[in-house]
Order: sequence, then C-alpha cells, then structure tokens
Amino acid sequence: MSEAHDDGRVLLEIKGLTTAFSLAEGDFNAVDNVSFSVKEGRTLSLVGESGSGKSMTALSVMGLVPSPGKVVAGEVLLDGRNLLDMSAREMRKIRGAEISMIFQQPTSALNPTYRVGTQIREVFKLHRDWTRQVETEKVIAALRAVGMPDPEARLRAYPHELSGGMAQRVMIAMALACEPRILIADEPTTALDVTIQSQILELIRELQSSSDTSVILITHDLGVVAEMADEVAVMYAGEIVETTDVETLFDEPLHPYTKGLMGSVPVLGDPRPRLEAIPGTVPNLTELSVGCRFASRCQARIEAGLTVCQTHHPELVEVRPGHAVRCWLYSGQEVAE
Amino acid sequence: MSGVIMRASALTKEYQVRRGALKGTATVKAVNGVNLDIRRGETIGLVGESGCGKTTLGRMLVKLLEPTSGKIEFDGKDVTNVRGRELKEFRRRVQIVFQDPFSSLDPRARIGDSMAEPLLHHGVGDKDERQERVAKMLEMVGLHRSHATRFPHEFSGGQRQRIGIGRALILRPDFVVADEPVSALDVSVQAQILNLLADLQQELSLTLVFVAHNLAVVEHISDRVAVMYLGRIVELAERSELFSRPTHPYTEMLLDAVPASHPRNRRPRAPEASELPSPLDPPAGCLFHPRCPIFEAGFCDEVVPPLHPPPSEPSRLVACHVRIREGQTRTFDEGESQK
Repeated sequence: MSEAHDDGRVLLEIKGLTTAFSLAEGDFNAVDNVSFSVKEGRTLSLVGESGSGKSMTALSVMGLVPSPGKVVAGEVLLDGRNLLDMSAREMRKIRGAEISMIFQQPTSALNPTYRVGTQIREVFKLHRDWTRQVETEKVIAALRAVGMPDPEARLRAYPHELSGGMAQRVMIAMALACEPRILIADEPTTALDVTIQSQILELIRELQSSSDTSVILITHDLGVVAEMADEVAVMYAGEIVETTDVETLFDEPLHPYTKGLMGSVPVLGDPRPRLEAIPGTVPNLTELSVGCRFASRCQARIEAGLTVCQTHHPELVEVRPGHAVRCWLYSGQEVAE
Repeated sequence: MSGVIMRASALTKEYQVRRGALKGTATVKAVNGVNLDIRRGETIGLVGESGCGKTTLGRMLVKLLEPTSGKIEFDGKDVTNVRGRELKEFRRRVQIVFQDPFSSLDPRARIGDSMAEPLLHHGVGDKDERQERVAKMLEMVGLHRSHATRFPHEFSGGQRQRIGIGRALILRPDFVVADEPVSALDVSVQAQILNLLADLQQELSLTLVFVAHNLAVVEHISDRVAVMYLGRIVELAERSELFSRPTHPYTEMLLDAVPASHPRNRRPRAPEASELPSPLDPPAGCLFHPRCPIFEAGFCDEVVPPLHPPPSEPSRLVACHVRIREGQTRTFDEGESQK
C-alpha cells in the first residue's frame, strides 16, 4: 500500500461516514460510521438488503444525499482531498470526471425528452473543452465502447426507444465518457434479464480492466458479488458487519448474517431440500436496539448463549489481516461469565 | 402423481398494439400455441425472461385472462368457456398468489376480513367458523391468529406475502399459480417464503405452478420445469434433467448467464449485445434463431420447430430442429446420457 504504483494503492478512503435522516417516523442514521477503502483498478462490493444503507453510502460519497438527509460525520478522501469539504461547484467538477455513478433503473436515470447523443454530449460540455465535431466523434466512440450496435444512428434515439439493456449501455457510456477513476454502480443489473445482466457485467469488467477504473458495486445479489468483486463489505441496518476479500467471504464467512444470507439463497446446480432461512425481518432503523442490530434474528447468539449481544453494540474488529467482523462471537471481548 | 390435473391445448393470447398514428395496429402473441400437461400434485416451474409469456400463461390457467384461442381442461373437463356456477366452482379450486404483496391487499381492510372474503363469497360456514378458519390459516402460514385484526401496512413484505398465500389457500384449492411470489422480497426473507410454499404444497397436496425468472429459485422448488421464449415453451423436462443437461440452446444460454456461485467459478462471458427481438416483429421459423449459436440457415429460419421429445429421452420435450436431429443421428457422447 505504500508504493505509489502498486496495484493495491488506495484511491478512495471513506472514514466514519454517517448520514442522518430526521423524518416524522423518527431520527435515524441511514449510514452509520461506515469506513472502507477502494484500491486502484479493483472492485469493492457493498452487499446488503433494502435499508442496509448501501445506496445511501454511495449517494453520500457523490454528494447527492436527498433532503432531508445529511452527512453528519466522516471523511471521503479522494487522493487525500476530503470531498465532504468541497463546495457544490467543486463537486460538479468531480462528478462525471473523477467519480461517476450508474443506477438500477437506466430508463428513469436518462432524461426522456433528450436524444441519447445530446445527453452524453452534456458530460463533455461540462468537463471538456472540445469543438462540437470532436464531441460528436467522442460520443460515437463512447457508444461504440459499450457495444452499442450502430452507434451513429443510436445517437438520435430517445431513451424510450431503447431496451433496458441498451439504456444501461448508454448510462455506462455516459458514466465512463470522461474516464473517471471511480465508477459507482448501484444495482446496475437488478432490473435486467439474466442474459442481459451477463452481458453488462462482462462489459463493466472489460472496460474496467482496459482503463484501470476502480468500481464500487452495490448489490443484494451474492452471485453478482462472486462474479465481480475483489473486496466485499457486507452491510446491515446502516453499518458494515463484515469485510474481507471475496474468496475469503465465500470460503469462510464469519458474521452470522453473512452466513445466513449464503444459506438462504438457492444456488444453481446445488438444490438443497431446504433453505436455511433467516427468521424475522430487517429491523426498522428508527427502532434499533442498543445491542447488536442483528441480535433479534441471530441463531448463533442463542446457540453460543451470549447475552452481551442485546445490551452492547459490537465494534468492527479485525480478526485476522484483512478480515473484520462486527460480532461478539469473534470479538474476544466477551465478559467471562 | 395420478394423471393430469390441468391441460392447456394450443393456448394462445393475442394483443392488438397500436404502432403509431398512421401505421395501424399489430398483433403480439404473448402466448403462442402452448400445449402443457400439468400433473396432479407436482410443482411445475415456468421460467423465462421478461416478455416470454410466463405470467400471461399463468393467468390464463387460473382464468384471470381470456385466451384468444385454444383450450383449457381442468380435472378432465373443458373449462375454457365456463360461466356462472361452474366458473365459481373452478375459482374455489384454482387460486393465484401475486408477486407484489403490497398492492394485492386492500389497504383499508383488516387482514382477517381480506382473508375471509373468499369464504364469504363461496358461502362457507357462519361467521364464527370463518373466523376460526382464518385464525388457523394465519397460523399455518407462520403468523399469529391475533394478526387478523391488523391492517396491511402493519406488516413487512414477507409477512404480507404470507397473508397473500393464506388468502389463496383458505378455500383449500387443488391448484395454485404463484406468480413471482418471492421476487419483490428481500433475500433473507425469500427463503422463508420458499420453504413455506414447499411445506404447504406437501401438506395440502397442492398442484403448484411456480412462475419465476430466477433460475436457481425455480430449480430449488420445481419437480418439472418449462422454459419459455417469446410466447412458446422451448423446453420442458424433469428438474434434474433440465439443469444438468439443458438441451435447447436457449436453455443453455440462460443457464450460462447465471452468475457464478463462488468467485473461483468465474468465467469470461460475451459482452456483445444479443437481445430479444421485438415481439411485434417476431423472426420467422424458430423464434430463437437470430440469437442461436447452432442455428442452420434455410431450416431454422423457415420452419417453426415443434415441441418434441428427443429420440433417446421420452420424458423431455425440446423445440429445436438441430438438437432433435442430433439425438437421432448420434448417441450422446457424455456417456451418462441414458438412465
């Protein structure tokens, strides 16, 4: 990590990020003290279910938290510069040029009243000082790079004339047009059919390896994680509960929630007679207990006879190099009883 | 398995679509001449990508949609055009569970009332008996009898889907279509609902048609699986046969597209765009031929392949000229081809 040209150089570092909401239902932290780092040319996957805070983490990094949400603590360091200290004008220079984002619903992320070419050109107008002719050439090149058939003609298409897969290709073309160093992909294939998902994932992979872009991939789908990630952070109820490299996560998951997720997903070619369902549901963020947020659904806690889980909130503890988990079972801090 | 409970013959559903102000209308065949025998007590998966017609087919089977042509037989009786009392009897025995547990429950009705409605409609029991049946059903789907007095918004998505299942089962139907019953749910909750469906299917000896796009989920729950593409069934086989040895090139493509289950099993994939043709303008011959890696010009693009068993496998049906012919001219080189 010390060498500047090492593959493992940290590009983006997030420290103690906390994003708070104050709503009629109550106050809560959608993102709660989240820390992770993204290395150059690598893919970090944020995994979690609805309400885990994975999308809000991405929006916080982009400076796009919807009102009334607010980043109330933490740092987002890109090359040592804290994005959270930047003005709106400075952030506009960063977004699209250094960090880009693609969303789950490509058809709703595009403006329905503008042609595809016009929307991609917009990125160049903001970040590049090119003539109109150069812009057009670059727009065509961007569409070609994402495998858009007949890019010269597709320039003039409106978003509604595109399929979901083609619209996602346009989004990727737009996001990567200015060769950002970081691409945040928020459930980029969740709305797509499985054969189209396969094409889009491979496309992201190829573009990433040819440009050395870092990717933050947000997903609820462990298959997508297995396919794409280098590092993984599992999120639950606003916080990271486990983080490690992808192979370790699949070989040796530690957190009972991570294990539960893996047991509850049917795996193709490995039909089990019964799925190991996690009982209960994701907790309401306005009504979190003082202890571990997973405690009420945790079987391992009951089997181990731990009581500390309901009364004390566990810290994210590194149990071996590169593998951290937020669970009293591994903290070594349990009070002997 | 005692015979066929539901038989669809040449079932077709067409929609008229306006193509634009001056271009007139076009016909889309959402379901195109489907023949399907569903066996009593089995779970049959209908799988395919969006627009393949799986939901339309499921809804025709429960008579929520009128077929344009074709025939549906239930328990040996033609029910395609039944009306009145006969239709009501059909509805008692055939039910559906919807995808979205949020929009399929009346937000202003108490759960107990929503669940008792089918009983009321069919004149089952008196008020106390109905209440007792609702309470029993709530417990059967893993809720508590006291939940009957609550409103839908007080429940999570998983709990609402339990209620949806309870409402579908309260008349003790023989035949249930579950249309994407877990795809709106969180991953950790999906497993609860899949386990519940499997248990209830056993306990009540239901025939279950499970409509879904998620192949692993379909593999998990089904006895047999039908793969659909652009309104047609392209392959139908026993679960283990279909997933271990897919025969139709589209089934192969679908299975190949599923992400790896472990990072060590990653493999390169084709990033090139290959998409569903417009159903307004379907290709001639085999509907899959423009995307097919083994298609033969002058044959596949001219003649519609029938859904036939390959010569060596009477229990499988495949709609593919090339694969059927391969089965005739050479024995399988995999070795374990025949049981």
